[in-house]
Amino acid sequence: MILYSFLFALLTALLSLFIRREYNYIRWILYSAVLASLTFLIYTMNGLWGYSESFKLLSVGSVDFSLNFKVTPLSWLFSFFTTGLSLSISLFSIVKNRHEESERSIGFFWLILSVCNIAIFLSADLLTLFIFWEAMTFVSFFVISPGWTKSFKAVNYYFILSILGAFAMLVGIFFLYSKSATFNIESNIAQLFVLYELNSPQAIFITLMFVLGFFTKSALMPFHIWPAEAHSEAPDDFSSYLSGIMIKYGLYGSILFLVPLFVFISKFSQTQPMSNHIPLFSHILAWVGAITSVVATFLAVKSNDMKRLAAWSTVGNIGYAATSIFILSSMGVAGGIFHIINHAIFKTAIFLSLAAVKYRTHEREMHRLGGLAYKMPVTFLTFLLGIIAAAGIPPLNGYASKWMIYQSLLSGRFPFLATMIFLSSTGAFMYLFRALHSVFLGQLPSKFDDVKEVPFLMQIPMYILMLLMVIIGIFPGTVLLPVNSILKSMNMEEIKVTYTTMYSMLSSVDAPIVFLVFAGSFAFAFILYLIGKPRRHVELLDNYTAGQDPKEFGLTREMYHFALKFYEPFEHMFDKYPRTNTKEFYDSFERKINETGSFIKKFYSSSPRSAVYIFTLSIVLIIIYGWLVW
Amino acid sequence: MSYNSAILLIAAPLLMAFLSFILGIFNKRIPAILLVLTLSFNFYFSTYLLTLVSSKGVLVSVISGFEPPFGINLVLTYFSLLLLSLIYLIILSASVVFVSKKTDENTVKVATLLFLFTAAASGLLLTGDIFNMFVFFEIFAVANISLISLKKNKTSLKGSFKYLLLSSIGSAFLLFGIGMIYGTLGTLNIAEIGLRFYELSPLTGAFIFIMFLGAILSETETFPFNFWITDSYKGARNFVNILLGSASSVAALYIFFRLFFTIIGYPINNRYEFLISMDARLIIALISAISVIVSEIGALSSKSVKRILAFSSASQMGMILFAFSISDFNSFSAALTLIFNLSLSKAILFLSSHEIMKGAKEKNIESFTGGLGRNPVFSALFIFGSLSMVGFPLTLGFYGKISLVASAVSASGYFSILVFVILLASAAELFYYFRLMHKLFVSEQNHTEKTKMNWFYAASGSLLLAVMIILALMPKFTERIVSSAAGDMMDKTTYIERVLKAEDLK
Repeated sequence: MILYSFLFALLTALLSLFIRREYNYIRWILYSAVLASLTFLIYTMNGLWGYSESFKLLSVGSVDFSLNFKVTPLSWLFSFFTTGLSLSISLFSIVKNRHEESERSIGFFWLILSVCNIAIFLSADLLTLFIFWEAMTFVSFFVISPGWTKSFKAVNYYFILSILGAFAMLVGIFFLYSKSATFNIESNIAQLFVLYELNSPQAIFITLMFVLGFFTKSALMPFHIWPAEAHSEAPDDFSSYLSGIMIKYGLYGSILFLVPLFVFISKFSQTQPMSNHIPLFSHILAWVGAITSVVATFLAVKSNDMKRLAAWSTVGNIGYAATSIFILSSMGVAGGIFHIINHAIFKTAIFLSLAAVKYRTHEREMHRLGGLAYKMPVTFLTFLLGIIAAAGIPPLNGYASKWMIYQSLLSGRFPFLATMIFLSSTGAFMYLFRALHSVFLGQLPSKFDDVKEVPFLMQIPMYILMLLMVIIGIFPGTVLLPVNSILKSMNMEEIKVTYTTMYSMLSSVDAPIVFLVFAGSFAFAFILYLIGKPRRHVELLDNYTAGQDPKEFGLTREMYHFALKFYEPFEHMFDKYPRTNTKEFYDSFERKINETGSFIKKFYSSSPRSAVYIFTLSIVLIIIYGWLVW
Repeated sequence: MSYNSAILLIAAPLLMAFLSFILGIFNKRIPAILLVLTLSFNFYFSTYLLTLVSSKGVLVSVISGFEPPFGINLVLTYFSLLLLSLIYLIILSASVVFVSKKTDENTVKVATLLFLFTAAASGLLLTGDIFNMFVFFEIFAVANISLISLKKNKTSLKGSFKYLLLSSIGSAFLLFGIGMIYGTLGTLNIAEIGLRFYELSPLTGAFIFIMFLGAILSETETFPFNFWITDSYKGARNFVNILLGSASSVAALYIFFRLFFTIIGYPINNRYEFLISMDARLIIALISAISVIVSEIGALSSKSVKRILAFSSASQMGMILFAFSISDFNSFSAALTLIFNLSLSKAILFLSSHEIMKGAKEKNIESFTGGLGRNPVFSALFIFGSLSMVGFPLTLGFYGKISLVASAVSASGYFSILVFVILLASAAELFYYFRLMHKLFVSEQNHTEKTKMNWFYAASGSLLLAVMIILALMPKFTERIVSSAAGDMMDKTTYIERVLKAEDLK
């Protein structure tokens, strides 16, 4: 069933290539329909834990290639939410791509990517995981850069890092396979645990290979530079997919493979170094997450491009989730998974609203925008709720998961990690509200006087996402109860949670009450607004100039929009400290390779005489080598 | 037809080479048509022999009544016939491309050269006699050199001259090695040499090993010996590129196997060791790993498409040699999968890139711009070819690469480190293939004019693509041929037994 639905989706993608450009909405409606049926299919698989499918492929030498799918609570939750979110994005794309250049290849590859997405989550063994991981990486190249020169430059960071990570993972998988002779995940975890006891350096090497594979994909340090490049240059609607869904694969892999391994070690191992009751390795990874979130926060504060800012915010959020996952407590893992889901929802909302802004204004630099709130109210509201959730303000869903992360960090006695997360969370306020102010509030540039709200079809996914944010915020149990079954399937202690209330060791939160408090205060303010004095609407500019005629001073609306270099004083605070530029490091590496390449190329086109010299010299070298060894 | 008529595989193209000269006087189309017909016959006959061999085991075809080890004999093994069928398929597709060209004064000569090429390749893969192999090696080199120089411009002549120099040094080395063997063991039969190689003194063994290395590494496009590749590929005509990149490489790999495994190697514990006192596997593995790295970096900064493909070919050959150097059943299976992938997809890449770039002034990566809109069929072919080349999941290249990693990691020690290095280097390969594919998607207007679709090219490309898809999507079939061939490669004992007791089989 799973495989046939995949083949069906791939066939649809192939057939859709023949739809003419004039009727391209048919193509995108087709994709939405396929995604809807896939979402429904996954929904029906709820509770069918252990349902598996196997499909044999080639076997070369000792390796039997086969595709194995299995439904587990973890895979179900991830695949259901991601497919549902892709469905809502695809609704947005129907109108958005009406006049998009190269929408044909974007759509074709995107549908394949959605298939890979589900397959990654449903894969039952490491080889299947790797197959779809690799396919996902390759296919996403063409969606991020569908023949656009600028996005090609941006995609390279993503592509090369992902490929290197995937190859590292491949080596890790086969090191394990040469010992365990199976690709089954549980047996490989057990095998790796045994290896930790017998041959610790090799086991650490293998774990490190997996960590490289997962961390490059999820953009944790020091691979954190690719989202800013790739998310900002990708097609606008695809950015939300990239940031909401695709960046989570690494964390999914960590939850699937690394967390059970570390839990195993912390429970049974006598030989491994521990710190704070968790393995040292895991503690280091948690720190990597925390550092990533702080660094990403500072970089987000600096950025002026709205998509880039949202991309850095994504990296920061991935950092929280990683920290929370790697402290290995039930609360932490549950909080991590919950935050991943929540982030997928609110970041999709944020990117969709930014895509809507760009759809109408064709502008990405924040200082050129402003005051769009009255022009695009639904988009504004989506963005507002999105950043409220992202900043972790109650009563939306981001608050619930951040609360859990803080609780797990504090109850696990990780005060420094908690401080770092607090720091970057506070920083998140800075850049998120700056984005809100620069794009939607402030002065509307006169060139955008005619901007309208996006078409209704594009608003539908925004409504859906807003509703999701609110519902999960009020009833965190809708996600946390499935998360509990994940914990159960991973043999971890379940957390205490009902539909409405979350409990931790330290306190508990009743989400509807929090919601009512907030709703009450809003209602109170609204009542005051109604019963207050009658008021007169003035232009924004009048407010800004306190009644003076701006034309007297030669001032325009654009000049009153204070958005460029918004946090310059804040940035100057860090001038004294040395800085490393990771991107520059990668760039210089690339330059060195290219120089070497030119050198080699020159050698190859040299005269025949030198070819003969080198030939002879190499033979002599081999003889000398043979002599020495012999 | 019985297996004793296997000599037809060599004789038919040789005969046609002479005939085409005479018939070419009347009509220049005749040699071209004869070429396609002969190759179809050869392909059919070799697959027939393949089925025969797969049921009966190694067969020996005795020429003119001299029993082995005396006289010349043809040894039909599963491995050699499989590669031979592959080579015929490639030459067939290359000659379809050649036939589509307008006839000129060169047509007859080129057809003769292609016949010669076919005959030499058949001889190389079928013969059981090492001196005979040397002779065919020379003919093969001559055919290659003349084919490369067809274009008669500076690059082409330089390339063919480089190839001439390096391959003649190589064949001199081979001759030295063969002379040494003949002087010490007194035989030229490969099976008998393989049987008695241990009788040689260690120094002689090492000497012969070095001679063989010098002989073959230039043909297998391994780094310090392959300085002919860029100019030759760049200067040669399109169908010659297909032959060089696919058919010649496969033939070279076959010679490599016969020289180093059937002659110097001996199977022990499901693995080949070498009958010389130094660690030959490490030397080969090191050279091939260096070759992969250097060629990948070289390709990365190249702008000319043909040069990129040449470097990529060298790196793939390095990977296959690396798989050979691990030398157990799994790595041979991986090597075979990689050989299939390399020969089929490289042919597709050369063919389709030529059509995509047709009409552009400079044949570099910029001329790929907007290929998908301009030339959708060949762009699709190119994309399929390069996806298989870089190992997109569930293509032949993927199976090959993954099983290579698997076999290298399970082999002890340095192989796992080297395979890691090779994998990292092959990330570069991904980069430049994706750069080319990206250019196809670019929709900017460029000045390349739209050219007419060449149906012969499309037919030839889709033939290769069909074979590739069949191999990737028919697990049972591919599994059977790969495991039979790998089993055949591992089974040196049967080879020797069957050849030296040929009379028992009649």
